[in-house]
Amino acid sequence: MYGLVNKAIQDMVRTNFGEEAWQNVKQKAAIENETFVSIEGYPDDLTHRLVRAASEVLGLSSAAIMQAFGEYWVQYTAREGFGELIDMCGDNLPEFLENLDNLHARVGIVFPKIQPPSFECTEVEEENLNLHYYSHRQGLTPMVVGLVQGLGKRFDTEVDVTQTKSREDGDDHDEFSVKYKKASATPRHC
Amino acid sequence: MKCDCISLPPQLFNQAFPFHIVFNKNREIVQVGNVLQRISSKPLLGSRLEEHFRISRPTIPVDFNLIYQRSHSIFLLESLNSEIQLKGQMMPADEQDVIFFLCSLWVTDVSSLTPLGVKLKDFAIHDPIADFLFLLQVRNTALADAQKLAAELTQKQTELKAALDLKEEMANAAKAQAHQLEKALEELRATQIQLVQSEKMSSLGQLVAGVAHEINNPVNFIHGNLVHAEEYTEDLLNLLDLYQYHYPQVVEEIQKEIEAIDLDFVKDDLTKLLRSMRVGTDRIREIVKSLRNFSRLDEAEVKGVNIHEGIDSTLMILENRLKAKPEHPGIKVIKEYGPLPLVECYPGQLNQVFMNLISNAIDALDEYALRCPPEVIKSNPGQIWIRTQVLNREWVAISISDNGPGIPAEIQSRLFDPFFTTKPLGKGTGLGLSISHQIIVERHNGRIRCSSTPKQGTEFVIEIPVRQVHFQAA
Repeated sequence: MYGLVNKAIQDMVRTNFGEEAWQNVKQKAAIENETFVSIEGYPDDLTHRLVRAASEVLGLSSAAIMQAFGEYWVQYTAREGFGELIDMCGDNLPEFLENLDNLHARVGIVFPKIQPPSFECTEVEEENLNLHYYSHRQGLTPMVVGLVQGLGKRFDTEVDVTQTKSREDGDDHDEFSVKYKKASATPRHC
Repeated sequence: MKCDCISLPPQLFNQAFPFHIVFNKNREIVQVGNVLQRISSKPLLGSRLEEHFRISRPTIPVDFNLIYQRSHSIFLLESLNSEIQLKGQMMPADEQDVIFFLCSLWVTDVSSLTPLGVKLKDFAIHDPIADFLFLLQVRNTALADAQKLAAELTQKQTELKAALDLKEEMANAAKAQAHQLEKALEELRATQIQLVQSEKMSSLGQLVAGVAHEINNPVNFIHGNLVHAEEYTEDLLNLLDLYQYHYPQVVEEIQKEIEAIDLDFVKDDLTKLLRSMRVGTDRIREIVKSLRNFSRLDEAEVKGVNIHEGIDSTLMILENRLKAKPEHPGIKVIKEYGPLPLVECYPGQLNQVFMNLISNAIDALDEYALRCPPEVIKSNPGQIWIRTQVLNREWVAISISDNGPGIPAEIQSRLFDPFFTTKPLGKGTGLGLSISHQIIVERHNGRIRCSSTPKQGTEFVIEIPVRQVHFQAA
């Protein structure tokens, strides 16, 4: 997992729960050096430890943490300089979700070690689509829900995300049904 | 040459090169990619290339033939009306007398795309510019990371330095405190020694003064009565002479007694005996006087003192040690007294210093005499010089030197250290010079120094101010 993810978790805990909570998380996760380099690859285990520790310290389930993190991730990456790239990836939620795979593909091309997940949009309609999530990593699926919700906020769109398929149930990937409705009256262009 | 290759239909060609330009020999733009047309502020189709662009690479003017000749070069076109830059390749199509400029938007800063209204989807999927843009952003992020890390590092370095400085400061403070503590301990020890010594000297002084007083009275009786005893003896002897003159014939019993007692010898010796007794009482009175002078029970106050009296008293007390004895030869004391004024001092303490220095000189000479062959000592008998002089209106100096074995250079610096001694165990306390140093330097604001040359002798020089008033006021 690249450092930007760990930095975002750190930032989320600090911003929402304070420095003391972060120090507790850090201590529980047995992390000595809290300085993460955004584009450096770190062991997945470190990220999992952080999530588990945050879950313990904050009294939330790992899934709740990951979902909150997914939502925070959108704000965080935009703030950390990727806002323009995000803006370039689409004018609205469905357009962005359709570009999501290309965005991750380009990350994977530039940094082969990162092994980013893959996404696919099917049955794209006026107010719903199915989002397919392919990843060899476990435990990050709830993050996708938060991610879509975060994107909804960014594009001023009401979103309802429901997981319809799960790797835990034996499927080869996770699938989400995404229902959305632009808050403003502006018509959507794909 | 006829080519059977399949070529892209125009719509797909447009998708593959959304920023391309096709112009003819008159540099008239005959075809434009849809995205380029969209982001251009003026319509491009039908106008001349040079109305919209200039060629920044290679450095040639917008000329069909020149462009044709440089078709192997990378071309960079700059818009004359906006920030648009196009990078690509000029591909002449000879059959149609046109040149295709197959290019893409060239940016070195992601933020420059926003004003142009360009989205990622505007680039052909195969176009690496999108990856390049991503890389640019990552580079910026990495740079920001590096800057942040460098700032953190600088901050930590500053903190570390501050911590190290603090540590050093604390270590220095601890060291200084330890030093002060050590010094205080040393002073305490010296004070204790001084106190013990003072107490000892005080008791000794009282004892000596008491003894001297007790002896003084009976000696004075004897000394006073001796005058009368001499008178009466003289009277009796005169009377005896008169008897012998007027009665030369004496009875046999008296004559026998005269012979038995050896009257002539008694008459002669009695006078001598009385004279000798007078010398003895004089000597006892001198010694008593010296003892009382030496012990000086008035030492609590500074007073003007004749230094020479103190030295003489000390010598009187040490006289027995200066005399020749079977186990050691005599030591000659040579006094070279200068005309000293009365010197303000604690006389009892100063006498103690004289006693220490002269005793040490005697010890050194005695020990030297034991080690050296008698003929060496005979040719160079032990001598102690005591010199006094006025240095200036405010200072006087007293020098006590001997012609003993001298003190090795390596131990000269330790002479005044407490408990330092070269004497055999049990003979010296190692406190004499330390206390002398303290008395001269601390009590009298003076100086004491030693100079010694092995096999030639040792000299101690004491310099003290004539008046203590200035120092005590300070």
